[in-house]
Amino acid sequence: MGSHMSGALWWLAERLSGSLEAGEREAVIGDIAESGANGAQALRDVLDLVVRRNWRVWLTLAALAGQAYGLLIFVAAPLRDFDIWWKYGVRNEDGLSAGQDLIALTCHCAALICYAWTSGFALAFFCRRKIHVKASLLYLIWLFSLTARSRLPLHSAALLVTLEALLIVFPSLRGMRKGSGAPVIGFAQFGLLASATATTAALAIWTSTWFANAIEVWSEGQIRTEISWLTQVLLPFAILNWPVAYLAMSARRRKLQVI
Amino acid sequence: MLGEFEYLLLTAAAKLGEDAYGAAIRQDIENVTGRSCSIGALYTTLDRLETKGLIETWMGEATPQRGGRPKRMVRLTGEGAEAAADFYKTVIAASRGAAWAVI
Repeated sequence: MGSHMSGALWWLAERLSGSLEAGEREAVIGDIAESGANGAQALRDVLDLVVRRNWRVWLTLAALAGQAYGLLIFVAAPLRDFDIWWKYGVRNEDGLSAGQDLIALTCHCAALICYAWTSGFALAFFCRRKIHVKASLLYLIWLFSLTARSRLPLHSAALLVTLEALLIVFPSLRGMRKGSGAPVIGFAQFGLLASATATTAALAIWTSTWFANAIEVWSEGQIRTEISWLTQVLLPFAILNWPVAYLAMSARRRKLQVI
Repeated sequence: MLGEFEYLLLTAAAKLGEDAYGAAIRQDIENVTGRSCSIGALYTTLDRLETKGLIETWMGEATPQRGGRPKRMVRLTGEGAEAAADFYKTVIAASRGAAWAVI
């Protein structure tokens, strides 16, 4: 190792280069070393390449983080009721029947599962390199969002882990596995996926309006709740459906074979 | 049609011949243009040119001044040489009659 290739910034540059592929990492660090760059220049050069290589990944992850947070606020009501039942064994008497609670919970969970699968598929399909790193980041984002306790006060750690595994991790892993293989998805399968995503999203949004109506009935008209079409209907629908829509729009350009 | 930086890179690789690799190409581009050439721009452009079939790259030997790390060697393909020649002819033709043209 050259004498100039030492110090904290060089060490940082070498660690950062770990996100590049092995062959490229060696060649890049070798080129920088040969140019006689100091630590700051080496770090700047490596950072420049890493950002250029992975900008799509960071954008995707940032978008998913925002969506995850928004979606979890959207599904907070049925999950909160389930959490109270899980912890205390009593139903939150919010004006809905037990059957309505169950239907709302099922619809919201189904929508989350569909979204997680398509997000995983899209992430793996568009960002093939270092997929395990990206998957780990995605799960950290989901976990962080799910534990945003100010909006989703879950009491039980076991429930938290179970929910994340069933609703997010497993479907997302399945989607990633499919998306990281050959870029082929059957036409019938794609149609089924799009239909399932749209249907579960519509049902989840429809059942979420029950909570607002129930609160009005429960408070005997004291609390008036008006459904916002933009933030409570259109936005959640768009968020839940964007991975499928994006896949459909990108199919030709990215050679995704819908057969 | 090539981009300006793609042309510079192909030309540097052609001039360097058997000695064309990342650091040498970068140095040549900086000498010719008088501007700094980032590693990020260099390597992403190498990838793009390789995808287009205009160059071939492979891992070469390691040297002590590189900290024992291998070089990414670069060689123009026939299509790469044609594309660079087309770009050159276009620039020459487009420049004819301009105040700064020397030909």
